[in-house]
Amino acid sequence: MKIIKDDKLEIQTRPLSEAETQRLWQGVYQRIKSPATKPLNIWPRLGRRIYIPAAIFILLFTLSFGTAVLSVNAKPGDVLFPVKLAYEKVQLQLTFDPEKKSDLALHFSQERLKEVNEVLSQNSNKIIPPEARAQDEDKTTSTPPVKVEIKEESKKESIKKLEKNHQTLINALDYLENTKEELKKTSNEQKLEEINSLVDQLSDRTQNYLDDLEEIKEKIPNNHDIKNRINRSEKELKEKFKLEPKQINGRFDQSDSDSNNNNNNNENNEENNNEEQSDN
Amino acid sequence: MRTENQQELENHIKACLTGELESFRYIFDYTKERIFQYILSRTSNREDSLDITQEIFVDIWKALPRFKYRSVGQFYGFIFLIARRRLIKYYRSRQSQVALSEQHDDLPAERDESDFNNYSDLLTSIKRLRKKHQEVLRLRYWSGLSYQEIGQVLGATETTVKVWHYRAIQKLKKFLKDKI
Repeated sequence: MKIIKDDKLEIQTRPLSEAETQRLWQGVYQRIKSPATKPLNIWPRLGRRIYIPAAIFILLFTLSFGTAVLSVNAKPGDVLFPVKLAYEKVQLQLTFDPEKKSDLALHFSQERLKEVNEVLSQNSNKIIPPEARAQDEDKTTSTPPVKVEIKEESKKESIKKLEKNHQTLINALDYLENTKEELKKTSNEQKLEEINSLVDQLSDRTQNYLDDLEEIKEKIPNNHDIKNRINRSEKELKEKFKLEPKQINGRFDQSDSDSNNNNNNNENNEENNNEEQSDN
Repeated sequence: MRTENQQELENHIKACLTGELESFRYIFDYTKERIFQYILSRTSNREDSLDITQEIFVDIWKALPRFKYRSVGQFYGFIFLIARRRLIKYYRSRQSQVALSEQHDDLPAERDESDFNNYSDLLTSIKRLRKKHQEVLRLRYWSGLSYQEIGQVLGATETTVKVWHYRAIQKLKKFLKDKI
């Protein structure tokens, strides 16, 4: 018998006999008639395909939503604060009505100002190391200040608080300035005035903080590390907020023209130069 | 005729989704020989092939709800995928395989000694071919599918299947040159 003929296989297979077919069907029938193998049982099959991704999705959704909810009360410097900012950003991006969007942006700017007030009122007094603070409270007579030893830990803590205040103010101003730029695009005069007012309030608060820093410096006369850091922070804040040195209860009007800004900057520079010369 | 058959098959597949056992019996009768012979070509053991075929039909019954009928070829693609998966499980569960030459109880009843040797050599030679070429030969000569249907089972065009078939035959001729 030839197996390959005209490029085709010549094979004869033995088909299933009647008995084999019967046996086969009985075997299949016994298995499929039990409810465990019903074809309509769709859910358990979906289980592997849908339940796991669904569970992951729900978990992620709960986690992100939960974090967003928890982050509502976060303050600058907190772990959840970036989450709060991101959540606000998402809210802004999902708001398409320009009117509502600028209202929301203003609301968030007010929130930044509120946070600044909270952080500053909480931390300002803590810049003074506990040792110096105790001495300050004990000072009932006009005896000359005794040199107190400030621990390294306290020093670090003081500088940390100072940094936090400093960064909070800088970030808040950046945030408000960005919002202002965004609002300028909508040419809504009323909203622009409101954001300018917020910037002014922030400048006022910064000026008050700078005054507080002057007082703090007096309370820690012997520690140069902290003092130097305070001086640096003061200088940077004055530059950033375009505040005139030693200006008390005054603020720079943000709505003034740019030329005025330049003049002020020049004045600042001149004064700085003078200071440097006198130092020399 | 063929279109009528297709329409009938489609109706029975749909009926299976609602648990119609009679329709499943139709599908069983329609495909049993093709599946069984395909499995037999792989295992060379009739008893094992019957057991595996039974498992395959149980798997088909379970898998039918996620099947959407488009053509006969696509339906064969679906059942032969199940068959191949079941075969993989079978090979995994079998630690040691019986050598082909030792057992060939799937030969035609009216065979003689030379048929036995030729058939045995053929199966051994087919196993030396590339996997796709093997599949083409098995689906063509054991399961009796058309080139077009084989194409749909293997995810290739009819022309490609014909090329694979030609190459497989040429190789087989070479392997069996001295024996046939």
